Amino acid sequence: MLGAAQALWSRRLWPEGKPRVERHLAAWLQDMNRVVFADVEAISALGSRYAAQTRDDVQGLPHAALGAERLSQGRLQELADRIALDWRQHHVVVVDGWLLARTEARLCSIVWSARGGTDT
Amino acid sequence: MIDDLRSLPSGTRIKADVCVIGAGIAGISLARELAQFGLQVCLVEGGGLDYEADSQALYDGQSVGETVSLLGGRLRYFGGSGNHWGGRCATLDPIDLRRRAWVPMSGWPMQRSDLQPYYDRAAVVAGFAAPWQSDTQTIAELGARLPGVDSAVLQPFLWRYAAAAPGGNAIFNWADAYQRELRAARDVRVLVHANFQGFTTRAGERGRVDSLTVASLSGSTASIVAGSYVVSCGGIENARLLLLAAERGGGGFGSDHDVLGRYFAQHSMAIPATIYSSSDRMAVLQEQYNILKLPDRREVEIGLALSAAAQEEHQVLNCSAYLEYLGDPASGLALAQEVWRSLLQGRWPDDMGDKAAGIAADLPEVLGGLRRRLAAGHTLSREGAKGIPSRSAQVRLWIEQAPDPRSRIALASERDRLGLRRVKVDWRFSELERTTAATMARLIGTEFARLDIGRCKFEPWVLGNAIALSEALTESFHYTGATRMSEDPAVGVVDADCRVHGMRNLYVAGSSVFSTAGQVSPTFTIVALALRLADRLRDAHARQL
Repeated sequence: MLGAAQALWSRRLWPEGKPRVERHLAAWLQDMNRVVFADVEAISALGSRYAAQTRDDVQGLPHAALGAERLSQGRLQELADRIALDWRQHHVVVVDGWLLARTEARLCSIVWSARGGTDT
Repeated sequence: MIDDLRSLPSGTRIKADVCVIGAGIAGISLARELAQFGLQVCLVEGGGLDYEADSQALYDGQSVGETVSLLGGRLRYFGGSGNHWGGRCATLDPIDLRRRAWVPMSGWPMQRSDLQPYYDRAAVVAGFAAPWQSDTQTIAELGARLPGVDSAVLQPFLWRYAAAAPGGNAIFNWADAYQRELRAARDVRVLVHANFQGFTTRAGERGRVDSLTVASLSGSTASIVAGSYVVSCGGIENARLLLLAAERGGGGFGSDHDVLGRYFAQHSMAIPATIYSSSDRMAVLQEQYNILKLPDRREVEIGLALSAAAQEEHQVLNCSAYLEYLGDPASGLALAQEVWRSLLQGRWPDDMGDKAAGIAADLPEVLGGLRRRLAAGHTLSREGAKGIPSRSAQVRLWIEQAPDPRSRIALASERDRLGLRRVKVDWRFSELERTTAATMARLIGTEFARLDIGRCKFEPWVLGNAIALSEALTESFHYTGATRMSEDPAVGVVDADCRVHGMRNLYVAGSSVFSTAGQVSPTFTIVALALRLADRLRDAHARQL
């Protein structure tokens, strides 16, 4: 997943100080599961927790701003495939009690980071 | 025939081929089988034919470790603890009998295949059709379409409910089913109100029981002289009686290697996680992982068990799970469920006033939910009925315990009304059980997420050792291990034939002989082993003729 997440950042979809993809990514996570990813606050909180418990994993994510307002369908499919692979390969993490695919946790961290989160 | 010791002349002497001590599920099954072989059996029972408070009080004792409900977990009258049995039948897995390098002291002195013929016979005794169906066959018969869980990790697992009559809610009860037969039996003499007082051994021959002395609480006594003796008084009392005999006899009775009473275990029960989903996905789950009815209206519950490969890969114990579906947490139905569960556990619910108000505000849904349950044929005490609006389900585990010599049954200093030392139980948990629970929850959560069934949230206690296991695990009343089976007297009390090491004619029946307990309710294996012991006793007596 790291590659996909880095690709998100590298495409500069998310201008610093004015997050635009944040809502799209959060909405996409919500569509996947509204129990775990209830709203952007919940997603951001998970991202913060994940960043705190696995600093090394999150530090690999570039914090450069992204440029577009929406993620392409191809990119979203790539993320979905990556998450499905995580489940199949048992690449899972526990964040705030929730069992997440590692890719999901990283995406939450991206949302948190894009919303200005810095404390881990 | 059934006699009451209190009505016999004190000092009566009874002769039999086999004396079976304890008329619970094991004792009744054994006595019936022996009688069918033509052996004369005396089946002695400390209690009466029904519950009596003064008899039950003899079960009181000390619990000095994790809480063991010595009075609540056992029943002391004809039928024994089978009188509060939940009816779940299942067989041990092959891995349960194997030596597992990651589970100290694991391994039975027999194979799972050795038990199969006795499971088939046990099925008949418990009111099922024989031979015992495989889980695969039964799932096919149910027409269940289970989600494609990875069988290398988790496997569907069935509990079959032994019913008094197909389609009925009443659980099969040994006392009800077989009391009339035993009363009419020519070769069985049941003696009630006959409490164990002690064994006598032949002078100069400590390894052979000569007679058993029994006494009623009113003071009548009798002695039973038999060729063989079987202690079948339950998973705790079996060890206590042998310890009492050893104390009186200056050793022997399986006590020579300080194993007797040690390795006491139960399945620990726990809720490690909750599955959350949408109500439509949960409804699909409810249709499958639930209590279902076979075409003959017998009930089967489908759960999940750890595969042997997963146990080995993760170095954990055996474990099974079933789902308990919760109504929407804030709904009146969910609140009613919470109240009901608390009361069943003997606890007054927290915030009862608020809960009562919530139930009252949602009364039509609560009544509708109850109607759906009853219409589906479920009793109030069985959770998981179909048709309850639900978006969450608790994962409920039965976890095997690893044998631990510190977990033990001993004798307390206090004495009961019969002058015998009461029992002292020191039950222990191990971190391996926490690891097992965490592994099981993680694998279920991963599979359910992969299949887009639902998402798993862990309880804090499985995520680290900051919370004591005593706050998370509860007892199951499945008492095992305290007279465990091994061919090596240094680590076992009985041999593979359930004969007490060092004793020529003393045997043990019941779950106390289990070397380890797997993840299944022990009752069905108790019956299978009792039938196996009956064969051994038949052969032993044939050799003596």
